[in-house]
Amino acid sequence: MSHTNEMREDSTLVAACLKGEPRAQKALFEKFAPKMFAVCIRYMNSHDEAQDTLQDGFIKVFSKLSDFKNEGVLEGWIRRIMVNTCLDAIRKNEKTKFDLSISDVEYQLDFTDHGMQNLEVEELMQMIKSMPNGYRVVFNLFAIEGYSHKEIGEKLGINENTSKSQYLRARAFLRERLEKYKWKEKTL
Amino acid sequence: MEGKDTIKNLFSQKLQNMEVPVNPEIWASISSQLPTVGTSSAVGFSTLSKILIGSSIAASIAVGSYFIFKDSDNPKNESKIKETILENKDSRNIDENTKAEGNIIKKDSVSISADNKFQLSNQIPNVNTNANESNTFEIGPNFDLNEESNKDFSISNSELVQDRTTESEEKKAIDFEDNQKESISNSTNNSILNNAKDESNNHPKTSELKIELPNVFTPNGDGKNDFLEFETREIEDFSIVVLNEKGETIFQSSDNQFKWDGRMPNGDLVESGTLVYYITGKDSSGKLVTKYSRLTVKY
Repeated sequence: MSHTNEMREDSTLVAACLKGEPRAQKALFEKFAPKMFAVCIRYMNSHDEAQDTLQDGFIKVFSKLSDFKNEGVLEGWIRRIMVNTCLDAIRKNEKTKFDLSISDVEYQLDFTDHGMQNLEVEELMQMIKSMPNGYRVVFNLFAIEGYSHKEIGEKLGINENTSKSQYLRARAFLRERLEKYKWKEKTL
Repeated sequence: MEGKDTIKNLFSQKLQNMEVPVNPEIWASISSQLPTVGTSSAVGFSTLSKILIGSSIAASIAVGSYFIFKDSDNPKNESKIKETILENKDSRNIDENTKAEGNIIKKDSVSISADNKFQLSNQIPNVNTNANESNTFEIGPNFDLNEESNKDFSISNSELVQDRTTESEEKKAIDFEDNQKESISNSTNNSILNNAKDESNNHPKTSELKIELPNVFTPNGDGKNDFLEFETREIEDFSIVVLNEKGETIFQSSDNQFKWDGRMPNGDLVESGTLVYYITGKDSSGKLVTKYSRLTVKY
């Protein structure tokens, strides 16, 4: 029930944005940006990169908005654009190799910008960000965005089996971390 | 195996809908790159929109100058000058069209003359291909010396009038609106403010955990401030995480009687610098809240 309401609300918002109403555009941004920023942070190495991709992603969202046919959920549609923007950015960034060592990965937490309401979430986020790019991207795509290994293979131009093995390595990495920090045993 | 991927479940459940506050500047830079109703006409000054703007300004002059001349007993300098120009033009008329216009000016109110003035000054660049003749009849003998300065003068003059009139018109419109809506907007503003206050009060603020968080410690073994510890025994579901400047976790505990000696997981003492730590625990109402503080390490 609320799902359909949500969709109706979204399609109204989209229609207003397509007319070029600045208020609607702002509303759309404010509705989805915080979630999408979290997505970008998960994929990108640094806070700055995440901000850049968030910005690029939303510009794409607005320029492609006429392609959104109200068939799916707007958030999912925006999220796909956002993920693709992140992947493009990572690809462009030539430093990215699929087997960076952990020490090569720089990541930073901007304490002032983040609303740290949930420590658990923040810790998990840190673990993801501490993963090498290769694992991290596959892990994000598979575990959180819910793409299949086949889709991931196509997106990244890698073998489906490579995606699977990267994912398993990511999972082992995370499991080790979780155990190291005695993460609530019941969840493991 | 699919169903038992607990790590996948844990991460997707916790992070899928995670939100991180976004710097408002990002919207500012996105919106500057978007085509909108508001900006497209203002930025994209096509000839058509120029004409539209021009005519609307002319219309506003007509209305605005009505107010000016109605309101003030002594017409302002600009309008005096304008009138003299128009008179000059009228007397020196060669073209029949301008004669007709001039007649209208004389017959009708000043507001219409302002309108005509605007149109004439706009036409100058187009009309003045045969410079001398049109030049003199447009502006008059006083300004005969230099074509350019004439144009400039007449245009800037009309602009002055425009500015003044549109300004006064806007002012009036605003005054009017203010009068109409003052009482309503006042009350709505107040209620909005109140709502906002309420919301911020309801928002789970971290201050609900009533503990003083130390912001410095000196793990140098001198017996003073050697440990990071504070009154946490009363806190249920307590946990603490200390992060370094890179955001790496260097200490973590869920023991509400913890005492940190400054040693990192690898056994080394933490270097001096600024750390940050987060604690979570249940407040008096049982709500899980987080609180954080910077922590300066000195030796």
